Amino acid sequence: MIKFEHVGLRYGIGPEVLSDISFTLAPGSFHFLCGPSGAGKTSLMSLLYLGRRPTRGMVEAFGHNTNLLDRVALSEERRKIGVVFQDFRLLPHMSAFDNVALPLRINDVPEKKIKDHVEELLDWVGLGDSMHRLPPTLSGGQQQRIAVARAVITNPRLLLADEPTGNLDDEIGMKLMGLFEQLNKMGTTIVIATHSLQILERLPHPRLILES
Amino acid sequence: MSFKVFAISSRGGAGYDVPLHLKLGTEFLVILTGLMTFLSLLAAIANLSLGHMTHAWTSGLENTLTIEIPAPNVSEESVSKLLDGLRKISGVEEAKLLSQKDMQDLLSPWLGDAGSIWDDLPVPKLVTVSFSERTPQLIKDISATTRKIIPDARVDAHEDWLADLMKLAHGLKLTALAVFILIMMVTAVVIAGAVRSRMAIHHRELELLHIMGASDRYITGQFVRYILMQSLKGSSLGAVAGLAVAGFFLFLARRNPGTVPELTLQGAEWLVFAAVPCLLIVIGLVSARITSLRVLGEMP
Repeated sequence: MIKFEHVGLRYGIGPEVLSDISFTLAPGSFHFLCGPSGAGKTSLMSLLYLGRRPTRGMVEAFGHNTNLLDRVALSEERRKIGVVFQDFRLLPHMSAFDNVALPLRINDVPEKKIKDHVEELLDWVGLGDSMHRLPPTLSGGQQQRIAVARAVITNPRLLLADEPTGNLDDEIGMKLMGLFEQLNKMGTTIVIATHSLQILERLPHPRLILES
Repeated sequence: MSFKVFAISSRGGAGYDVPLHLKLGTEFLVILTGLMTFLSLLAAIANLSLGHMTHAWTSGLENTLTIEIPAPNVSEESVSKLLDGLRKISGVEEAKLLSQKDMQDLLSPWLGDAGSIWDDLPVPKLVTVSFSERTPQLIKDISATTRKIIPDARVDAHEDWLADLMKLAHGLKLTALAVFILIMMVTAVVIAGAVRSRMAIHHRELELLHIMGASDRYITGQFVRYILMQSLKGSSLGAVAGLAVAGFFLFLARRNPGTVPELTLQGAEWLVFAAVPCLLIVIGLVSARITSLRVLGEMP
């Protein structure tokens, strides 16, 4: 599903922040991405969600060499990926409902379907009665759940989460991991960047380890 | 092919994914497009009015010429012979000697109305010749006939000063056109700058949409819609202001003829008040679209 071959990444004319990265993610797999701070986890995540192109090597996503895809085709590939950011990156001027609906609108889904899907998902993550509230009026945990709902609303083939439990207490963090486990059982490939030893010890999934 | 520019959405933030509804320094676009619409309307009206004015001037003078006959040397009989000769030329519609009264009317502003002066002054005789169409051959024939009958007479075909007047009028028309084009270009450049500025301010939101798989067209549609709304407001204000000023000038010109240049728009030319704002809006939209696509093209 995802294949990295001798991938390198540098910003501008700076030094390489990622060097010679090679791995393969099978469909339906669950991986943790680990490594010390500054090892390049966020950079690797940006390559995984196709937010950047590698400066060398090859990234294959869903059977396509992304180096060879044009901008339109690349944006279509991105729609198959859901991302949960460490800082959530919710749009503060839009309600919880509209934030979650955004990927569907980008996919040109009819408004009637959007309404049904979003309401159902917000109920599932326990925010059915807060769907018209703006993100700044919600707690960190609630914002986290909206971010997760937004990432999974399109039923992505690949779900990426960057330190998803970083801002949450242990109990909510483990609940969130349970949610990811459920999604994985439903067939979604999952990569979670974390350095939480508690999570790594409790969940026996393979690890992609970046060395500095 | 779908355009979401006019889609009405129940979303927050006036329907924008990128918070373009927030007042972050680009609200001046309403004033700018209003001002540009107003100025371009004035330039367009000036251009059209000058066209009518030059037409009016030339149609009055283009098909006439004057023959000056020095008074002391010429008999009435020679003048009659000249008039007959001129009338026989093909293309000449009328040849007429100005009467003593006509001459007095012409010269009295300079010489006064004292009756005796006219008997003492050697005032030349003037013959006006009108024709259907000015051609070099016709002017040549008239000059030849005049020289043959009254060798001292001088044919004034108004060519020199008419040419100067036309040059001036065409120069003014070109200036008005240049101002019009300049206004359009400035509008395009300023709107491009405003779009770039808003895209820089909302870089994080754009990056998020980009990561979610939003196409360049999807994102650009939002900026185009924003510019459309700003331009619509501004252009409407500019058009209303332009109409008000045009109406005021029309009122002044009719009430006090000669004090202000007369607005001479005719028939369909009044559509300029709709066409110019529309053109300005279209230029703004094209500029916004090109700028947005360029900026997004810098993203991976």
